[in-house]
Amino acid sequence: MTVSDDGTTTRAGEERWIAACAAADVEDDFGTRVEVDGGQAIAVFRVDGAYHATDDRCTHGEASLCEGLVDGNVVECPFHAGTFDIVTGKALTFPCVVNLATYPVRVEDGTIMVRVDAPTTIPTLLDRSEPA
Amino acid sequence: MSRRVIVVGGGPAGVAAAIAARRTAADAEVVLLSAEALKPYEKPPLSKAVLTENLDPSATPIVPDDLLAGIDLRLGVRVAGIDRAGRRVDCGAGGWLTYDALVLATGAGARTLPGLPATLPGVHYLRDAADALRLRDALGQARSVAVVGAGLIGLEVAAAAAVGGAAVTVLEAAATAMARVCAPSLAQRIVERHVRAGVMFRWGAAVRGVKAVADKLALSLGDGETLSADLVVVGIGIQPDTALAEATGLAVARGIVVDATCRSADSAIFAAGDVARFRTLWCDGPVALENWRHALDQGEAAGINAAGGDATYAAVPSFWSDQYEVRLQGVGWADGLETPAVRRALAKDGAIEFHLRDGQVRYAVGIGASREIAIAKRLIERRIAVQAEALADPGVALAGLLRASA
Repeated sequence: MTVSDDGTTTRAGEERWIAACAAADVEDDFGTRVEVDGGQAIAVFRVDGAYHATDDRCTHGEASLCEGLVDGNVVECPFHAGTFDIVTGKALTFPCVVNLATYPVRVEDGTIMVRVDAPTTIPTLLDRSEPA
Repeated sequence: MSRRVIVVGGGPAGVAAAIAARRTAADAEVVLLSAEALKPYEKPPLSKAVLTENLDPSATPIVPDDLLAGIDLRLGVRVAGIDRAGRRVDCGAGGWLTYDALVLATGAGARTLPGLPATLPGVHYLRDAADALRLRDALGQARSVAVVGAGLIGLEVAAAAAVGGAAVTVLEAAATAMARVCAPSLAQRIVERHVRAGVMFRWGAAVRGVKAVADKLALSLGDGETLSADLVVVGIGIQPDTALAEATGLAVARGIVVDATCRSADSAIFAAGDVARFRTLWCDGPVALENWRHALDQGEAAGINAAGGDATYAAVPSFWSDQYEVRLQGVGWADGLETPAVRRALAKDGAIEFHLRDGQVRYAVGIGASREIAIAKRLIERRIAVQAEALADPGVALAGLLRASA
């Protein structure tokens, strides 16, 4: 695991890219849920034409973020309506306070490839200055 | 001297108010008084995982400890009175505490039936962690359980009891379940799931009283029949805990009356959550909303304003209920809306119904319908004009309706 100056952690093993889904299958309104291994699920999103991957499970409750509506770079959890920044994984609004892991993504011949061995999580700053 | 904000009540509204006050005015002193001994914990699991999975209520705090940093949290403090002229609250043995702004987030207690006193052994009401732990212990011993009320709490408890192996009978005064939140056709889907789990239902059942007979309870019903059970759980709604506000002369009408900024008639006193009654864009008359997300959102607005900020509360109401593997979710407000609802069939046993007014969705409720509810929330918030035919047609992408008139 590497920790950068701002506390962001990246856990990287041997580069392991998996073919997650077809780029054409990813909608603008909802993420696409992809089960990786051991029950772990990744959410693939499209924001302004670019693809991003995060953990699918909300860091707050038992919910799939792929069931939550995407608005710009923000996904709203369908269960308790907390929100995350899809690009950075940052928890934006209450009750979500723990940031979401994001994964490197690249597109190869129309297939979304996700590097599942390298989740990046920015530090959770619980004393964020903006109101919840 | 710095401004002091006192928040009374350790539920989601109180916690959100305290955190928001803290963030709004860094130099304010924020005191959060909770009558309970436990650190603020989530209430939704009390009728679900606490009963079915042995979850400890303290294992699901409302917020991680870090978020309470800088807040003077005092547990086990029951406020005995408010002196509005002196701007101070009576903390009993803790003495008087003065405030610049006061947020009342005292919540609600269970509505009780006079014939079913909570003091009678075997009769349970469910509001707080202590109630839930007592109920869990009792469910562990009970072979037969009578649940009075087929609302959300009653049905969640019925599901927990049935999963635990008890013979469960639900007694409901109305003709259908969950009549406040969904039309009979959707309610029927959930009732059928209960029936598959072995739960029996009696509709139109008035409960007159209860007697202890040997080691069981005998419920006398309106039709002259008697139902015997080891345990009775009553879930017939809640009653806002307005005693403090009433005693100090604040306007109370089934809830402390507040405006869209959560202010009461006394500009130094705010109220939020189950205890507040207010007018909102989304409902016809003044309402007291009784759900979790509302408590958080309104608490946040109250806390911001109590700390000198400027927030208006206008969130769309929403709720959820988990029974077995079924998740019921609703958004908007149902009262007084056009019926019949517009129904849309969904994949995988899901279903959703929309209630409209003047060509706009005002309320939607569904099972297995997370995505559709998320879209409905936006349709409601943005007051998007929709055609009932489009909502009903599974061939029309719902999300597309968000853009149709954008």
